[in-house]
Amino acid sequence: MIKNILVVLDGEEHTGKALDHALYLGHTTGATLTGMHVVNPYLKQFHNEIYAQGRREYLQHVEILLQDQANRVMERFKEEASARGISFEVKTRRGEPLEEILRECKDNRYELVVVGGKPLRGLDRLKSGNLPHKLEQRLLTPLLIVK
Amino acid sequence: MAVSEQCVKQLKERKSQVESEVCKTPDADEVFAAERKEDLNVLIIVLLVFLLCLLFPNQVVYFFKEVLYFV
Amino acid sequence: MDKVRGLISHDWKDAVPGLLLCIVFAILVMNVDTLLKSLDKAGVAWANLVYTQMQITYVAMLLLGGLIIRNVFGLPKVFLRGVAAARPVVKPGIVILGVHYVWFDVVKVGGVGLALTTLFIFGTALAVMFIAKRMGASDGLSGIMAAGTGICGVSAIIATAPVVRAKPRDMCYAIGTILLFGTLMLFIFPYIGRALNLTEPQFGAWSAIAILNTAQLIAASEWYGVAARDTAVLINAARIMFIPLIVLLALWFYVIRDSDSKVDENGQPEAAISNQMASVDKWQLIKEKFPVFILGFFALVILNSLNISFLGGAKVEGSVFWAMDHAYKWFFAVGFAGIGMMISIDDMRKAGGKAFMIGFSAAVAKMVIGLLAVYLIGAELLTVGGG
Repeated sequence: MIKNILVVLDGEEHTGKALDHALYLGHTTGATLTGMHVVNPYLKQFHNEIYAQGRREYLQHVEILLQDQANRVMERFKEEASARGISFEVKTRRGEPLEEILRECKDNRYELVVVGGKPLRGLDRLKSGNLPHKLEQRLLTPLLIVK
Repeated sequence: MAVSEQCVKQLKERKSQVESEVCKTPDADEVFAAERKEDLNVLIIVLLVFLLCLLFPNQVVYFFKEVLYFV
Repeated sequence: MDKVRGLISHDWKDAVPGLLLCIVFAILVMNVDTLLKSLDKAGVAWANLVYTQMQITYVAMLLLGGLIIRNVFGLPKVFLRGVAAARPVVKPGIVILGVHYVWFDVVKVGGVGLALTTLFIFGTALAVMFIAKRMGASDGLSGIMAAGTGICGVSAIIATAPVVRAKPRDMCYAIGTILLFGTLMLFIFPYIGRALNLTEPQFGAWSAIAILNTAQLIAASEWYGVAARDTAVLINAARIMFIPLIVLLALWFYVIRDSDSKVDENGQPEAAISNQMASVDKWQLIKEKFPVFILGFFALVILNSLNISFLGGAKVEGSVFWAMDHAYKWFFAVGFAGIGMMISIDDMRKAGGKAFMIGFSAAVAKMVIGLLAVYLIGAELLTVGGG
C-alpha cells in the first residue's frame, strides 16, 4: 500500500519525466506526493579561494541563483500537482543532495522515492556524481529511477 | 512598456528581498569584507615578523633554521 | 575597537584544527626534505633518484601528499575549514619575498613581465570572449571563462561571476575546468621545463604567463628553483593588480555594451540590471577588487632599494631582512600544505561542456605561445638581481 511518495526535483530537464511519473503514480494510488528540492550550496565553498576579490558579492550572487531555482522548481510542482487534484506537500532542504535525500527518508516514512536520471555514456560516466546509482546503493526505501 | 516596468519592479523587489536574507548571515555586517580582512591580517603578520626580526634577528633565524628542523 | 574585532573572523575557532594539521604536516615534510637532501649529498642512490632525478622536494611532497590525503584517505570535516584558511598563509610569504628585490628588478623584470602579462591577459580574455561568442556560449559563461583563463583562475571567476551574472551550472563547469588544467600544469610544468633545459628565470616567466591560479604558479616556480620563484613572484605581483581591470572589461563587454536589446530567459528585460551596473562607480569597483596585501610587497621592495643600513639585506648576515628571508619558506610550506589538501578530484570531475573546450584551447595556446615568448626574450631580461 503506497501512502507517501517522495519525488526529488532538481530543475534539470530530465527530472521533468520523473515528475510526470510521480504525478501519475500519485494520481492512481491516491498517495500524498511530497516534492523535495535540495538547495546545494556547493559553489559557495569556492568563495575563499586565495586572492578572490568581492567574496560577499559572489556569495550573494550564488544565493540569489539558488533561491530562484528553488522557487521555479517548486512553483512548477505545485501547479502541476494541484491541476491534477493530488494531495501534495513541498519541502526544501539545504546541503549535499545525496545526504539530504537519505536523511529525509530516514526522518519521514515514504513507500516510494522517485528520482530522475539520464543515461550516461563514455566520459560522462567518469564525470558524473551519478546520484541515482548512489541512492540505489544506500537507500532502503523502494526507488524508482526515471530515465 | 507597462509590462516591462512591472517586471523591473518585480526584479528589484526580489533582489532586495534576497539581499536582506543574505545580510542576516554573520559575515555581512562586519567591518571589513572577507578578502580585506584577510589582506589586512597578512599585513599585520608581516609587520609582526618584521618587528621580531628587528629585535631578535638571530633568534628568529635560529627558530626557523634549527628548532623547526628536529631531524 | 570594533575595527580590531572586525579583523578576526567570527568563526576563527573552526579553523584551528585544520590549520594545526597543515602546520604539523609542513613541519614533518620540511624535516623529511632536509633528511633526503643530506642523504642525497652523502651519495645514497635512492635518495638521489627521489630528490634530484624525480624532483620530489618539499613542494612536491606537500602538494602530492596533500592531494593523496584529501582524495585517497579523505579529510574529516573538522579539518576542512582550517585547511582552506591555511592557503592564504602563502600571502605573508609573498610579501616577505619583497626583500629579494630592488627597484631595478621591478623596472627590468617587472616591466618585461608586465608587458608580457598585459599582452597575455587581455589577449586571452578578448580571444576567449570572441571564441565563446562564436561557440554560442552564454554571456555568463564566456565572461567567467575569459576572466578565469585570463588572470588567476578561480579567484577571477569569483570576482566576475556576479558582474556577468553567471549561472550555477556554468560556474560548476568553469571552476572544474580551471581547477583541472591548473592542477595538471602545476604537476607537469616543472618536468617539461627540465626536459627543455629551460633556465630558471625563463621558467618563472613562462609559468607566470601560463599557470592561471596564483597559488599553483607560486608552487610550481618554487618547486623549479629559487631564481624561477623570484621571477614568477615579481611578475605575479604585477599581474594580480589586473584583477579589477579584467572585471571592468567583462562588465563593459557583457553588460554595458549591449544592454538594451537583451531579454533574459524569463522574458524579463535585462536593461534594468544593466543600467544599474552601468551606473556603478568604476573607481569604487576598482578599489573594492584591488588586492591590498600586495602593497606590503612593494613597501618592502622600496625599503630594500633604499639601502637602509640597519635593515641590511637578504644576504647580509645578522640583519633584519636576512632574518625575514628565513621565515618566508615556512609560510609557503604551511600554505602549500593547505593548497595540496584543497585539491579535490571531485571538483575537477565537474569540468565539462563548452567551458572545457574553451579552457583546453586557452591553456594549450598560452602554454605554447608563452614558451615561445620566453625563448625569444631570453634569460637575461628575466633574471632578478636582488641588488
